[in-house]
Amino acid sequence: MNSEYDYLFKLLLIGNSGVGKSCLLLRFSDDTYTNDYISTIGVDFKIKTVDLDGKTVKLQIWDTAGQERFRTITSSYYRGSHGIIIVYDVTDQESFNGVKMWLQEIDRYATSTVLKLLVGNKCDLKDKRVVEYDVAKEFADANKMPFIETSALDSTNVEEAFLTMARQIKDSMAQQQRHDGGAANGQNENGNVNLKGQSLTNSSANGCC
Amino acid sequence: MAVRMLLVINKSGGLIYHRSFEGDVDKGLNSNDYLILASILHGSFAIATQLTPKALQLSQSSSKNIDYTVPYIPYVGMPRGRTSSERSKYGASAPQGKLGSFKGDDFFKESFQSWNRSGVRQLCTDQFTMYIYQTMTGLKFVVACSQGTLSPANPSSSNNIFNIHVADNFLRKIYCLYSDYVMKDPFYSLEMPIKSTLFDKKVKQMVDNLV
Repeated sequence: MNSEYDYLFKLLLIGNSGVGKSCLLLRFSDDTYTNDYISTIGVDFKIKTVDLDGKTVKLQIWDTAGQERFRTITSSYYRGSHGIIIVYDVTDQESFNGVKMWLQEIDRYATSTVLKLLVGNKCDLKDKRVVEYDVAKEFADANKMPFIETSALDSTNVEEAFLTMARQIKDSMAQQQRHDGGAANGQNENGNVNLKGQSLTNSSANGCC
Repeated sequence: MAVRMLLVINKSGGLIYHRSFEGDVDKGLNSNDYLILASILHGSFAIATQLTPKALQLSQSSSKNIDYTVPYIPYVGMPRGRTSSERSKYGASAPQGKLGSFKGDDFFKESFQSWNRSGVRQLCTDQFTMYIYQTMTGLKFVVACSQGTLSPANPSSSNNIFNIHVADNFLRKIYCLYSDYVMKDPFYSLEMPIKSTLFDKKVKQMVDNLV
């Protein structure tokens, strides 16, 4: 039955081919690492159950293929996702340049309220680094999204990256619910009746599509 | 029993309801497997959608006047939907509680449009047959049954179009239940797992009516 979990969050991993999306996910879900490079075909799923404020939350992470030829059906993957993690490789300038393109894809296919996170992977390869932290941080700030550097190899920041996102989604959802509840009952948080009425446009902005 | 499991998949490919009606179907499948199964189905559905228009282009003559109307098939999944003699025996007082907020003795009595125009509608295997009904908003209702058909009146039907229509009728009624008992639940958060016991109960009732 469905009673095992309270929430189901959809997270999406995108980024150029070979930046380590699948490795990042493997580290998060199974805490393992593999050196073999196996290209993802279409999409792969991993599910991790976490506990947030006493609620059981299942994070369903959609690990998409970075290769261009799998891009035709990605629009159906972006749809309705709660959070999108854009991954690039700190040793590969090309993959960082690609982030701009991925942001465009998000604008095109995902909801405007979706939470974004920029992840610079492979930060353990210090001598091969070409994308500096400050450059990426500046870029992330300009695009109003949080930024974190991770390493799937030595598991730096991997857990943090996913859990920060999960918490943000949970918070925004709770906020949304409070807002909806308040609007429906015509009450504010003090329990008093609000006779001013509330604009409906705010709540409908997060509705379908 | 014909129905083996029922899935409801939201528009983003997340499984929000699953229920199996035969004990052995679950064997070895945990809730994560079900989630993955549902999302793979969602993905293949999307791929099929990409493929279909090209296939239609090949047969240009027929593509213009494809009829997506699904005829109404009387009393699929309804308490009095067995045979006409039984129907008259029970009369107006149905033995079970009312299934939903509809007037009369069925949810609807008109034919309706299928919104699943380019995706997968039926999946046949040696072990089971699966039918997918998609709503206008992209919600998917999936049923897997052990025989090819859900029709209790015509259990050996090999008319495939008829079988699809029966399944569409049945799943549309599950959709009606969803509208009545899930969407009207003030504690339900959109796109999240369905935990309504009332919905559960009514679904079970409707599935039992199919036998």
